[in-house]
Amino acid sequence: MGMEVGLLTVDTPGQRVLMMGNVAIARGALEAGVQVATSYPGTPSSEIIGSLCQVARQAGIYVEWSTNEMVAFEVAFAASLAGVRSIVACKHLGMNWIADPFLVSAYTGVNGGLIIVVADDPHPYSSQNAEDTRYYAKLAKVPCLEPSDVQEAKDVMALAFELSETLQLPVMVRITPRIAHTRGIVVLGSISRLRRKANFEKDSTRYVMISSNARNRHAWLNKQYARAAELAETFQLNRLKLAPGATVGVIGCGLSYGYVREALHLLGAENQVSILKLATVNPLPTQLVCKLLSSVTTVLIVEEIDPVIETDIRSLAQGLGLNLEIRGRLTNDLPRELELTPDIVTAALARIFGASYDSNAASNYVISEINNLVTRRTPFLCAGCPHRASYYAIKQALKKVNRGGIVTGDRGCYNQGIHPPLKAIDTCICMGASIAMACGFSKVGIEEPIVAVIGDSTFFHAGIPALINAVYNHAKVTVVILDNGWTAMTGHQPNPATGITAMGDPTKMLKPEELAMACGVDHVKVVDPYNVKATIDSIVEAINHPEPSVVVCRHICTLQELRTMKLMGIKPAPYSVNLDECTSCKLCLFQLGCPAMAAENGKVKIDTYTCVGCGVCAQVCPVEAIRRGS
Amino acid sequence: MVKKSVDLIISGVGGQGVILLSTMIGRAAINEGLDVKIAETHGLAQRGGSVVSHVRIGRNIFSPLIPIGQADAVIGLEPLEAARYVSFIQPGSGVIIFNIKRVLPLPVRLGTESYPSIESLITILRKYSSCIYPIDADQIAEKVGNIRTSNIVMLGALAASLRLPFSIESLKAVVMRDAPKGTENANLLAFTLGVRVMKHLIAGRSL
Ligand code: SF4
Ligand code: SF4
Repeated sequence: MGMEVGLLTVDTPGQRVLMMGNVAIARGALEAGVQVATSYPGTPSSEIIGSLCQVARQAGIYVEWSTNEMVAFEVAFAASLAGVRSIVACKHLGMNWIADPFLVSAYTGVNGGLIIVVADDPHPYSSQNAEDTRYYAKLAKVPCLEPSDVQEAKDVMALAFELSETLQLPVMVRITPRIAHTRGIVVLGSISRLRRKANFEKDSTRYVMISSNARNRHAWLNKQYARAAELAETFQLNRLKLAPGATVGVIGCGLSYGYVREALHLLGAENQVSILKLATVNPLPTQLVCKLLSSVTTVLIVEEIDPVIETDIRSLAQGLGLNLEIRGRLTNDLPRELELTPDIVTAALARIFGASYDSNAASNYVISEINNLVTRRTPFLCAGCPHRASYYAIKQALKKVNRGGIVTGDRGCYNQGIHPPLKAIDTCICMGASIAMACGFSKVGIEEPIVAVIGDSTFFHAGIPALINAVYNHAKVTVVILDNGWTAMTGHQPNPATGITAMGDPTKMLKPEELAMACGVDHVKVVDPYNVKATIDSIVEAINHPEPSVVVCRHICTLQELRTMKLMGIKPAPYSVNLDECTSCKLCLFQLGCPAMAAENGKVKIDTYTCVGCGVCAQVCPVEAIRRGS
Repeated sequence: MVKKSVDLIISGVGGQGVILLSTMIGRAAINEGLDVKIAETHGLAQRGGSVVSHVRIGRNIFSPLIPIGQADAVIGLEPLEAARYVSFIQPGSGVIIFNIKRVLPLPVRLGTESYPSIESLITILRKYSSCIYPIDADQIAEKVGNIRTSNIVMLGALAASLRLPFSIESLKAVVMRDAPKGTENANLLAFTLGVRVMKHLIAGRSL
């Protein structure tokens, strides 16, 4: 991303540059005069704010990593009420957090343009589900726009801000990884230097949303929503191309339009199909859609994740008494799961033409042969990751206590603890669920020790209310806070435990142990997980405590530690196995699964390039055969 | 259907430089006034996972993803990762170039699964294409004196495969410009050696 960030602030309109979709969105926001940008990191959305924060000072805008998505939204919302343009970026699951204030913001309306960029994860590649966030736009009755490529990802921002200010409604921009993490050519526009002076004009009929006001505003919102549908008819990024004599039509929403074009090219059917490229996915431009529907006898609707538009179009067609065949996911022409690909769309279109599309007939047999040969490669905790040591300690502690044990997990790098050989967590649902679910398990008469693991960032995000709940309701749980000082999984964003802000300013460093005590936890211990014995002992002690207990396992994320060491010119001092003393029990390998270790000719070997010298394996080895140096 | 783009799959393991290589190719394409789309799948930020990018270069690219069976080349920075994406290759004519240096997946390191031999991988890959070029890029990078340049060796090899819609020199220029300060010479050398080894391999085949 490094080089592209430099392109964020260059004011060379007309220049063609290669940009990642997320960076293009950031650029679009700058060109449109954004003044406030907020987010909680979440793959695949993180680079939007991640790139903006690097140029914030230069651009004279305010950027923050907020403690969670709801907070991020509310900060940006207030900025918008004070008249300045703001954006919030999040992944689809973050939208669940934003839902509460978001649905009310449609009632209050906004002043300065307010855009929520949501990155959905259809596959999903790095998420717990594949929800379709467009339902939120429908739920809130706000416009939702989908760019079709990286250039449009930039261009849609200015249009979205305008739309937001015209309608006085927040506007959602929905993308998927194929926009967010696609690099494409962007022709730059000029950067807006306009900076509005923030001014909050009080109006309690709007901003104090008591029910009597909500009743009035509900009617206002419905009026604005109807107006949004009118504006959608002429929205710049929608495009209808009627092919003369065509009986087949296709609607391609956002990125899917690219697949549709590709498919038509593959089938050589470019001139036989009428196409509606749709950017305004909510509300629909009904007249524009009807123009297409009434000119064909079959229409295929291509959209990412759920049949949202397809359902709308069915009801539209029925309302108008149009008699045409509507195909898509509801008719199983497109699959219900996983992300779309050009092949899937091509096969669906071919079927409509009564043809078949077999991209690579010979391949199926060979593919299965290859799949048999090619082992899966799941991501794992880095060599020397402190989480590995913490998981080892938790498992050993539970063994010592000898009453079984349930470990509730949370969202972060430490998810990787699910894989063998660690297999250390029993649940992972959503931000903060580890502690609250631990409370639940403890309240239903489960006798086993219940341990919740949660990272520092996730603790600040959603763990604190749950910890208060544990204390308040006497839940006998042990919370292990894996404090590595960074929001590591999403690419190392700073958080309240880091001591620096998104814009690089030093700030108060919050200590999870102090917060835990303030929440009312009496038993709080801090250990360095690299000290294996001390960590096991602390966890045993915490489990034996009769009330909620907290152990903070503090060691900086290894990747960050290595970066600092490199800057200081310090080289890691790797460990090695003394083959004469090694009894080949392979305990180190099977208990830790450190990527620096491998079984080789019956013995364990440590790869000196990969080993960072954390020394955890040396403490695990029962005969002390692992030592620093070669 | 006339093929209207040059399509490359670049794959490897997190941290090997898949994104770096794709971006360099993308920059070279843009310098030539071409359209380019690069779809990256990197999942999480940690190392160790499978990383792939679809690089498409042409006049007007529609889909960021390459259709199955359309890729002109698969460049694997790791043998298994090359094999994993072979269904994208154009049967018969697509080239498969891969670094023979293995990065063992966790189950293999634990000894619970085995890593297929390079020979058995090649046997299967041959069913797709006769243009298979295994390269010992790590060994070359060691000679260069900077093991981290092994991905640039692979880039040189790709350039020499003549599947790109621009010259070896244009790509070399990008390598020079984008290489981290102080490593320009090492990267340039790695690139040149990559070109050379590939030329040898190609000549060897045609003999
Ligand atoms: S990035 Fe940091 S926290 Fe994440 S697995 Fe690697 S060392 Fe552990
Ligand atoms: S010291 Fe042991 S556990 Fe730590 S990184 Fe090296 S091999 Fe892995």
